[in-house]
Amino acid sequence: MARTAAGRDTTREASGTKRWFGVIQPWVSLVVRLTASAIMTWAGIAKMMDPSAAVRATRAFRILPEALVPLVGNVLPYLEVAIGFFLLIGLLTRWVAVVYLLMMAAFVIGTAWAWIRGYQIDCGCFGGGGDLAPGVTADYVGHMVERFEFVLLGVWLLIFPGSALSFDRWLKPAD
Amino acid sequence: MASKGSTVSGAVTARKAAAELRAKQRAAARRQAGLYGVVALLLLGGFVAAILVILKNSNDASAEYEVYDTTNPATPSNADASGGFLIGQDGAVGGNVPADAVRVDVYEDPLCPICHQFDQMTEEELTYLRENGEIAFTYHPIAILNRYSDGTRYSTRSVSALVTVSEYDPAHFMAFVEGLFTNQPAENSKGLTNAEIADVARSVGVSEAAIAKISEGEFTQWVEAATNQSSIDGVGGTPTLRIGGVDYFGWTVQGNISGAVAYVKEYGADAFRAALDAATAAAATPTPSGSS
Repeated sequence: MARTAAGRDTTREASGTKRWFGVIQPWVSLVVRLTASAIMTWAGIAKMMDPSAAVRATRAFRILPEALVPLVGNVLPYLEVAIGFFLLIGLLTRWVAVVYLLMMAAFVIGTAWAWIRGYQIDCGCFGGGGDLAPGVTADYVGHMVERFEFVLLGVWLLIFPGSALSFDRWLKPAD
Repeated sequence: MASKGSTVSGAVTARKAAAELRAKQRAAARRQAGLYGVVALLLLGGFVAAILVILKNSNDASAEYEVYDTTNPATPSNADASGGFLIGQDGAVGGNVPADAVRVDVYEDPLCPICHQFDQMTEEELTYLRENGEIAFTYHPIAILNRYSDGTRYSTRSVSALVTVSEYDPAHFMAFVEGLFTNQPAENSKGLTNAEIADVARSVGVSEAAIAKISEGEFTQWVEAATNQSSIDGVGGTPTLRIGGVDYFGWTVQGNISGAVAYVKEYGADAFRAALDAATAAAATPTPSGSS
């Protein structure tokens, strides 16, 4: 057993923290997983309530060519809801986290683009979207902070995909 | 390797036992996978059902807010390809304008509060310009704010009613537009009921024959198409004012529209756009202060 100059047993202390983390981590991942699931599912449902508005919101970013706009605007809600489901049941969590982060990267790029170009738009992330009324400025800082928080959730799941109460766990208990 | 039963028959029995055990394990694993598959499918079914229920309940299906729609959609005879209705000098849809009149497009949603303000601030000036043959005033009612009427799709209902009146009582079209703004409901409320929309039409003099046509929903699908077309044409929100096809935001100051129209008439729309871009660039450049 290693001892510091003060004579304390550092090896046992270190493994104690690690053990504590090992117990806590699956439950933290569970909470992160369910939070991300709720966000994705709600984002998808909100767009499904008015699909043509979702297409218009996609167009308002002025970043995609018109040929891709209807495709992205119509397909995105289903992709979000699918990610939400996989996160809900905790299946293939690491892979889903990768897809989730790729999606977040696209949104961050889109928002940054609109910010740089000076467009005053509502991103339409939870339904609606399009240009804001004249005189209303877009809250880009707020949007980016929100994106960053969502990205943090995805990064956590990427690093710690093993969560409690998940299909991943049930299918491979040794993990 | 020497073991307890290391005769040939002992080895064969051991292999058989091992094979049987493996087969049993595989069967158990298959059963378990089947069980997980069933559970996953049940969860998926529940998930999809929950989504469908939420989507269904997000729409208000009560009769007074019914979105009239027909299986035989029609195109209004007075609309152009961009979904706009040209208002003639006499104020009626489809009237006449002089050949050199500058094209002015206005895109509005009846639920949009800033559109109401736009209307109040600019109606006099635009009417003057129109009556004097200076502008070809083209009005585009679009339905982009359906998410703000609590599931009743007020925007679609009111624009569909407007387009019906453009078809069957074109002289009262703009009066109906004004009437809907005067009686504009708040955002995030249920909006006007269909009966209330009809009452507004009645109050501005729309004929009963035209009002009766509203409930056929002849043009509701056209309204959807025209709204999408406006988005493709670069209209991102309402109100959108275009003079000579150029987006113009200076309407908050009286007289600016007249000035812009005169500029376009004299120098053309391209020069107008260039002048606006230059003005925006100049405004964005900070003026250097005297001291450093």
